[in-house]
This record gives sequence, C-alpha cells and structure tokens, in this order.
Amino acid sequence: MNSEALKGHLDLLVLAIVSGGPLHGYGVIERLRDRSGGSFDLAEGTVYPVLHRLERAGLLQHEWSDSSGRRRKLYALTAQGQARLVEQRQGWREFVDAVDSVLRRNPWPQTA
Amino acid sequence: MAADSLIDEYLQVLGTGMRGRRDRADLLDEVADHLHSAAERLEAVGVDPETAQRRALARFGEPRLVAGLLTSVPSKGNLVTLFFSRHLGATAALAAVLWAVASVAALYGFTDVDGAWTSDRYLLSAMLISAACLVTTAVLVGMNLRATGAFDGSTIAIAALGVLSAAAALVLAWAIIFWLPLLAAAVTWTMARARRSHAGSRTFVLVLLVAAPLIGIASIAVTLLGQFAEANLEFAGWALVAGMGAVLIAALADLAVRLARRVSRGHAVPA
Repeated sequence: MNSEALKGHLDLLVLAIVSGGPLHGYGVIERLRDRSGGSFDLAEGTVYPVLHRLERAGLLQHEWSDSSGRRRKLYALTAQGQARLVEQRQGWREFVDAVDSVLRRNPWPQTA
Repeated sequence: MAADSLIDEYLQVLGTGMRGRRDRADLLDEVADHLHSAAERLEAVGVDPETAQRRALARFGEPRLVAGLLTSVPSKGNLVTLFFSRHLGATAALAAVLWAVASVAALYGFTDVDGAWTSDRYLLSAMLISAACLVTTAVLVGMNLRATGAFDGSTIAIAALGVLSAAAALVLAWAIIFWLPLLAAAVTWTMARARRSHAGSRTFVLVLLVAAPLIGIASIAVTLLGQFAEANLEFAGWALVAGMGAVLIAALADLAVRLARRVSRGHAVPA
C-alpha cells in the first residue's frame, strides 16, 4: 500500500483504533498493521505526530501509566473524538459507495 | 551493556533535536517506551538484544527526521502546566525540607517543651507549616498534571483543598482539625490518582494512601477528645503534625530523587 495514499486517512484510522480503549502509540501501530493484514506498515515515528495533533485538536486525551514498569502514555477518545469518528466513518462509507457505484456503471477494464 | 546503549544513544540524538521543547522529557519518555516495547517484542521471539534494538530503531525512523516531525506539532500544555511538571523534582525537595523544619518548629511552637514558649515561636511554626502545605500542594498539582496532562476538575479541586489548608494553617495552626484533614484529603485524592501514573513509587503511594486519611481522621479525633475530656493534648497535636511531616518527607524525598535520577540517566538531555 502506498504510504502517501494512507496518509490522508490516518486520522480516521487512528481514531477508529483508539476507540477500542486506551492505547499507547506502539499499540496503535501494531493494530494498524495487524488489522490491515500488514498493508498499513509505516515508519513508526510518524504515528506520534498524528496522535499529538489529534490530541491538540481535542479529539484524543492522554493519561500516563506505569503498569508496564515504564512511563507509558495512553491515548483515549474524547467525546469530541467519538463524534468525529462517527462523522468520518459515515463520510468514508458514502465516499466508498459513490466510488463503487461509479466503477460498477462503467466496468473498469472497459475500452472505449 | 552495549545493547542497551543503542536506544539510549538514539534518545540522546532525538533529545538534541528537540531542544527548546519544554515537554521534551515527556516526548522522550513516550519514544523510549515505544522503542523498548518494540525491542522486547522482538527479543521475545528469539532475536538477540542488539539486533532487536537495531531493528526497533530502524523501524522508528532516522532520529533527526523524527525529532523534526515530533516538534512540528506544538506542545499541548500551557506554560503553567509545563512549569509545575518540569520543576516537580525541585518543588518536592523544597517541600521535604520545609516539612522537616516545620515539624521541629511545631515542637517548640505548639508545646512548651523547654518551658520557654513564646507567641513568636507559635507564629513562626504556623508560617512554616503553612509554607510546607503550600509547596506540598504545588507538588500534588505537578503530580496530577504529569498524570493527566491538563488542569482537569479534580486537579483544580485538589489545588483548592491544598491552598485552603495552607491558609487555615497560617491563621489557625494550633487547630489542626481545620487544616490537617484538608491537606490529608488533597494528598489522599492525589495518591488515589497517582496509583495509575508514574510519579512517585508504588510503595510511597500506598503508604500515603493509608497514612494520610488516618492522620486526617486522628486530627479530628484528637481535637474532639481535647474538647470533651479537657485533656491537654498539645503533644498529641504536635505528634500528628510531625507524623504527617515525616511520611510526607519520606515520600517527597523519594519523588525528588527519582526525578533527579531520571534526568541524569539521559532521558532529558541537557540543553
């Protein structure tokens, strides 16, 4: 999967993953990779700016924990983040449906 | 350990790339946790420690580049938040010293231990206790901020309890029933929250979780006993103040030492 193509959708994907419960950055990356069957595999350092930006936007909040014996930053969705996730999920479905129906009406390997 | 230093070296370089970021220690802690988690995961499947660290670092990205990415998002905390969090160690050390001095001063200010009590002694001890309460409150606020990253409702309530206790101690230091339970409540509340966060050790969090409420309740009991039994309980009052002081000194010193050690281990690179 082209990492440029992934970038535009990273916010939605990260929100969706974090909505499953408090998670640290490493966990987000792991789940992103696992749930995409290994397709979404990005330079791991690039996920943190996304998490920090989403937090700054009020969509995520964090808490520090030391249950692992190290200081660990755990992210969770805020109410605003939850609302944004619902909204973006809906937007994505509409987009995919629209693209699908365009592709169906005009079968792709068609030569004009 | 040569293998261990790979991640440390990486963090050093990353740290120099994040100069000027007040929340650098937090950023580095977050990256450190990631790198150690990744390396441990690889080691668990049989990769040797050094290779595991190399791979974890390679996957994370070139440090200068990552530092640039991380610092491209402005830090969330405002100046006040960062101040409390950044100077937590020094504040804890100051609070420990103040409690030590205040406990001794209270012996001479609350009781006539050497037969030469003066009201000046009492006033001095009251001021010292009030200062100790105030600085301890700053530590409690710092611990809350480190755990939550922002002034939330509970942090503000804890700060209010602490400031009230300092004010009450200044005006009515002898009446421990007014200020000691307030301070005990602020400490207990913070410790209940700190159980999940890193600041302070687990042992001291538990000790304070038990000791602070007990001392708070005892200070009410002793005062009521003094009222009804008309007993002279000034030594008991002093003992409770000193007891609270002793537990806090131990916990605050532990916190200060831990934070100082964490800085010297290279998690926060000198600017």
